[in-house]
Amino acid sequence: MGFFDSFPPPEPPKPPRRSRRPVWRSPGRNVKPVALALDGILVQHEELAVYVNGFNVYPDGFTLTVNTLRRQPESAGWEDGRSHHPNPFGPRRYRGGSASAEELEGLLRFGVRFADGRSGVAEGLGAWRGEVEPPGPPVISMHSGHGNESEWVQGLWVWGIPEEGDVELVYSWGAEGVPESRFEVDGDAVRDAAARAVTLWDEPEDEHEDGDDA
Amino acid sequence: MRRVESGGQPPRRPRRISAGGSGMSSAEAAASLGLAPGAATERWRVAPATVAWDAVLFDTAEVLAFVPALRVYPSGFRFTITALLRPTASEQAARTFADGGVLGPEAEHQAVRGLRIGVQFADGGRAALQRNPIRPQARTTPTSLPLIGSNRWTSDDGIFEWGINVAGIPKDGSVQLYHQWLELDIPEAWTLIDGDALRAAAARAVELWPPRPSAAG
Repeated sequence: MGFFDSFPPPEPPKPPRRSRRPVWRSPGRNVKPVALALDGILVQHEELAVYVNGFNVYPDGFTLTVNTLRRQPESAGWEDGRSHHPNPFGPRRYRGGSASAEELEGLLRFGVRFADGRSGVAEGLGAWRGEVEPPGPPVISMHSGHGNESEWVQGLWVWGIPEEGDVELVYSWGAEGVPESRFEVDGDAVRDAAARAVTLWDEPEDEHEDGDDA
Repeated sequence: MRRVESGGQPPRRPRRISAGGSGMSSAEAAASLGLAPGAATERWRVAPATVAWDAVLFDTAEVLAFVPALRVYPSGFRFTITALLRPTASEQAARTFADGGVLGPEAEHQAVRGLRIGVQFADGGRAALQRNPIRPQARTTPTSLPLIGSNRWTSDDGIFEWGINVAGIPKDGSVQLYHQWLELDIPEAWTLIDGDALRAAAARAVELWPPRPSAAG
């Protein structure tokens, strides 16, 4: 009898399960969204750039992707010599609302404003914990961020489709000298795409979990 | 949630080889999208142009896969395949999905019967994605376009997203994007990518910075 035969066989690992976040904090997994051919360069400095794309519209909101790139030094090879590129939205420890006002000022920040004046700001992954009722739209949340030495790619989810007018994305990055600025998204294009997005099936009611995925 | 990030490869200077297609050498095009070593990588110095594609690759009783958009660079394009497992899927299909229908265990049968992706240009040039490693062409010097590789993927019990890179923009004609997933009874089929839209988007991509002299050489 072998050593391991004296132990019960290990249970197979459970399939990974993406955290179920409230619908106002994450796009539906039961929807085929409609893409917008929309790109925008928000920041283009000598060594740093930020651009947005990935506008995928759902019946109740839309995603976008914020891409930050740092120019690589001349000596950069395939895997060495690259500058360190930390998450410009701040480390995880900031994401439960624990950052000071000064720390927040230095981060890359995003918000959204509808034409009727309603607005929201992306507060980070921890902000939604414990929510049982949605805040009033628009709600903007971070999801699915990742990066490496050269880039940081951050997904954002905007919950809420305005009935009228355009959508303003508001951003600033104090540490990089980027003042509060705006990027306008065509509201008619968003509404048209939202009407064409397809809900594939009804999702069962699910308990919200406290996991985060970025 | 599982997450795999593309890993680095030791620096190696690509050999210049003349190739048809996009007007770049295949080595340059491969390097430009991170499919082969090269510090001149476009994805780190170019803002791509988006083509809204909204293509459904396959839609069965078990799974739906679609590509919302293409992100087009001067010498290639990238996209993300999103697959959703339907609540009505069989246990076997759910197990296949959860086992990593994309990049699961490297059993030979799965490499053949799992999801396969390939591209073909109008001039006959074509390439099929090799399952694992993430950046297969990094091991060899590419000889012709197009080339195809994968980068980041995430998956869980109900959804996976798989990033695909294609090096090369065809000079003429359209691109056929092939797929096949025999484990889920999805036979080989293809979806057409409008070549004119690709070429127009490649021209709209914005160079943020020129290549460093040492990287361009």
